[in-house]
Amino acid sequence: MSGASGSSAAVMTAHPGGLRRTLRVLATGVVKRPAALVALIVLAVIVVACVAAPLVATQAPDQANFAASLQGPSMAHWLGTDQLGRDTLSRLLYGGQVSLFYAAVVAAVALAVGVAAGLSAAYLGGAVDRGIMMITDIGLAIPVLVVVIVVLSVFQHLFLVAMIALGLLMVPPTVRNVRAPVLAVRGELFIDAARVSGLPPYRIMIRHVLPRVAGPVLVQATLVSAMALQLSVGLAYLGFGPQPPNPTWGSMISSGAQVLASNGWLLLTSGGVVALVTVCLGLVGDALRDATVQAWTGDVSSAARRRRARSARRARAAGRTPASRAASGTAAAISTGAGEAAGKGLLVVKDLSIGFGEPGREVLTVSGADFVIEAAEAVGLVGESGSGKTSVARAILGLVPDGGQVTGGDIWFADQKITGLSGRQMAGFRGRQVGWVGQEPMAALDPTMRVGTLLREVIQAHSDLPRKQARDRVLELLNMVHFPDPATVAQRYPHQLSGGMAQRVAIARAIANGPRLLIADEPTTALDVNVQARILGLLRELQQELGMALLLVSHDWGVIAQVCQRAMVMYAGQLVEHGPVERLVATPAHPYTRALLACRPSAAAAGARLPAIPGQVPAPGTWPTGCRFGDRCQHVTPACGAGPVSWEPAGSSLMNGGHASRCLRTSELAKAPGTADTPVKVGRDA
Amino acid sequence: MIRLAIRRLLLAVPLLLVVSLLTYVLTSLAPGNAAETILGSSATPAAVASLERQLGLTDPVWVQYWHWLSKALTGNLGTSLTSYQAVGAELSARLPVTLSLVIVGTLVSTALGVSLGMVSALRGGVVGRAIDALAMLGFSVPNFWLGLVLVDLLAVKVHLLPATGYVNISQNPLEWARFLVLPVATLAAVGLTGIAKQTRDSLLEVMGREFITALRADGIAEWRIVLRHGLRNAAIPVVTSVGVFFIGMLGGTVLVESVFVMPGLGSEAVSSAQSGDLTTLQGIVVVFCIIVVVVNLLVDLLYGWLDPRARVS
Repeated sequence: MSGASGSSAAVMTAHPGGLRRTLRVLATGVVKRPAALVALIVLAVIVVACVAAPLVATQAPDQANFAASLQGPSMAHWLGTDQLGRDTLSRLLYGGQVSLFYAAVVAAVALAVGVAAGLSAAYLGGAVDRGIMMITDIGLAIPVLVVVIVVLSVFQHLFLVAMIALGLLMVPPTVRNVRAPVLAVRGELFIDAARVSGLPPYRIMIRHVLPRVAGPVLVQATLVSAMALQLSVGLAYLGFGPQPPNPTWGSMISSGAQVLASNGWLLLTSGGVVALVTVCLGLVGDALRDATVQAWTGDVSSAARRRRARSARRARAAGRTPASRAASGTAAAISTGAGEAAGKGLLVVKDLSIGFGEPGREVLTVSGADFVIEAAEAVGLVGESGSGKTSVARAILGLVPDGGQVTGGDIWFADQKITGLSGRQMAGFRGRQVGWVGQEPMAALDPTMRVGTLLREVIQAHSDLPRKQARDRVLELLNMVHFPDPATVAQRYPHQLSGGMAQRVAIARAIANGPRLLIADEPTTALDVNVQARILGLLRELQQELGMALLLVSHDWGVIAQVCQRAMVMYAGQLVEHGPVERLVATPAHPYTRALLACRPSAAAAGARLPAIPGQVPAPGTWPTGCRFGDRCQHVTPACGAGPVSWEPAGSSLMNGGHASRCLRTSELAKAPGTADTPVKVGRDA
Repeated sequence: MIRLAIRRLLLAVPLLLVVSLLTYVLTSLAPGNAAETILGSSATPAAVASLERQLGLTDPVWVQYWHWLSKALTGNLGTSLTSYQAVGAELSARLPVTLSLVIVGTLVSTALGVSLGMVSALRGGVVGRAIDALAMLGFSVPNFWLGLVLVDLLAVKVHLLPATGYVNISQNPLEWARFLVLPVATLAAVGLTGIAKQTRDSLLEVMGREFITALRADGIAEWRIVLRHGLRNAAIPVVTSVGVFFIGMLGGTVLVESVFVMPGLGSEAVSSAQSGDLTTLQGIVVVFCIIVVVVNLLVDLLYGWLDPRARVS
């Protein structure tokens, strides 16, 4: 919808659309929501009717009729009459002229001054910004209503002056709400481009900045108008402002309160119309806010985010008891060992499929995954981003990301079936049996909690260790991940750690309860190169010392080769090759594995173009029935597209250490030398 | 942390100066001056002029302000123009009423708002939509109007609670509470729904963050994750809105104390404005500003306690 959603610099420097275009987007956003549209119409009707009161009202506002005082609604008086028998509807219309006028004055003053000050503060920056923000901070702490009452007591009969003062008191929040989006837009490239091209600042403000803040300003306008109406009505209720017999909504509430015991209509209608106008302003404001967010970031509204969170919650609930077992190709598990092995191996994953979306209509992102991890074995899971490797790893913990769910297949851990465990049972399993190290070490830590406190909580979640012992165990764990001074680190907050330190804390946390399997999902991707090596060394050391099994998820062959004995390659939601790392690297059998190895930066000749696999990974839901790599494969044959491809042993099945590939031409390709000119350094004792 | 608090307090000094100067200059602009208010409209011009000299009203504004300020710093806020009582004593007698209202109002709206917001975030669906609708309604219905309706329903139609008035807490705590129920309900409605909404949005955002997944992977019980980690992180923006709603409620006492005929600062502001008692009004503005400053300071300290990152800056 705008430049912000583009990824290339060319898109970013493009002008994202003028004021007119922005307003059109916002208007569409409001009109598309039924509630906001109705609110807008109601507002328009009320404003027009009040302005046209002399034409619309059936009676003059001060036309008394004592014979008909305090009547309920009737054909003659649609909303009844007051103590003097005056027609309530007519008085509401005339009163609305006054009340809405004063609300408009307040809003106009607040917006005119607030937008000008907010724009200048953010755009000009420096001393101007500091000065304006200091005044704003002071202004925010002024108790509005009391100061307005002071003004009213000074200018006894000049309600308008008090309303202008009220408008000025509403400038500070307006400045804040305008300044923030301008600050955001100021840093964007298209503004720089405009500045470099020599446009004068005021032209840049009007042509480029104002469209961007049109949404927030309009939202603020609805908010300020609503508050202004409420406050001016409140003051009129207290007896300030236009005096009887001239009606205002506030004075009508006041007289309604006097006759409340005998007739509630007057109070209900006068308060009701104020509430109605405010609700409508609120609904329009909400719609504008959502439309603004969508217009500029392509992001979804908070409501849509809530909807997504709800469906994710439902999906999690459904995920515990897989309802449907999706057909998942013929996963004839020749040599994965999974077929015969429920009961053999530490972790057994059988025919696992993972999908997203409404139950029954899921789009699969992983299908027919079969594999086994033995106790104390280090296994790599390799693939490009989006191949489904993280989903598979997280499914083991019952934590499929972003609203996905296990739609078929089973997972066994130490002879216990863990798919279908209850939430509570699953919590007892996670952390205790399987540890987890994620990709973003910083994001994985609760920013408000000390490292030591967090580790102790993790320990005590699975044991009744007394406080003292738990604290000792924390220090021991921090020592195990090579912190020379565990006590100091335990006292630190996450923001006081470096990325490498945070990742070591994450590892300490994952091994805290002596898990039998450690899952590390791209544990070094977010780290500096020299830190990467240390983290990998630590993982390997701990895996061997503690005798844990390790599932290492990575896109990087170098990482896998340093730590793992065996590896599995994943492509488009499917395992396509698995076997000992040495064999995979030296004699890759699947064309995808070969291509992947050829694309390693370290394999490229200096100065030569980095090879890339032509074409694109098919998106979930568009997988072909035949080989999923077929479209991009150099070795493709007509047979490849005919149907699902099953596992073929690569080389002699007695000697190959379980090397197998999901390719019809496995036996030919496995004999041909690999494409890797620079050998991947394989070795766990390097 | 302490430096932050000190900086905040220092910022409060210009605030109090600016606001008191502003009100002082404003009130000196008033067409009828203090001497006329005291002597009434039938006084001879000579009598007014002599009282004006006596009160120092012939001095320039800044001299008058300096006089007022130097006395105010010692706690002397002057003498009421209508009751001839010391403003300081009058206001300190009324302060407990207003503080009872806003403090109980803040506690009630925060406790209920946070619980409702939590339920809405974790359960979603109907509860969430109901809270949305309630928040919109709470924001839209004028709070003094809500008070009037509540009085009619619960005090006049059903004699469940007293309609108007106030009893000191030291006199009778139970009666104090009974008299507070309706005004607090009136005052807290806006804040309650607003805080519920803020809590819900904030908690949903936090529960989607990576560290929550990491805690789930640790096998920590879900209720513990929500209460110990989710809520604490979600509380950071909630504290801000509690501060904002507190200031809103303080202003709201002007209306609510008038509706419920309570002898607090808000109703005093209204009657002083109507009788032209500018000295008292000036004192009320200063007291309100001090309350706001104290609350903002508490909010900052709470921030520091909740978020270790805020402690350094």
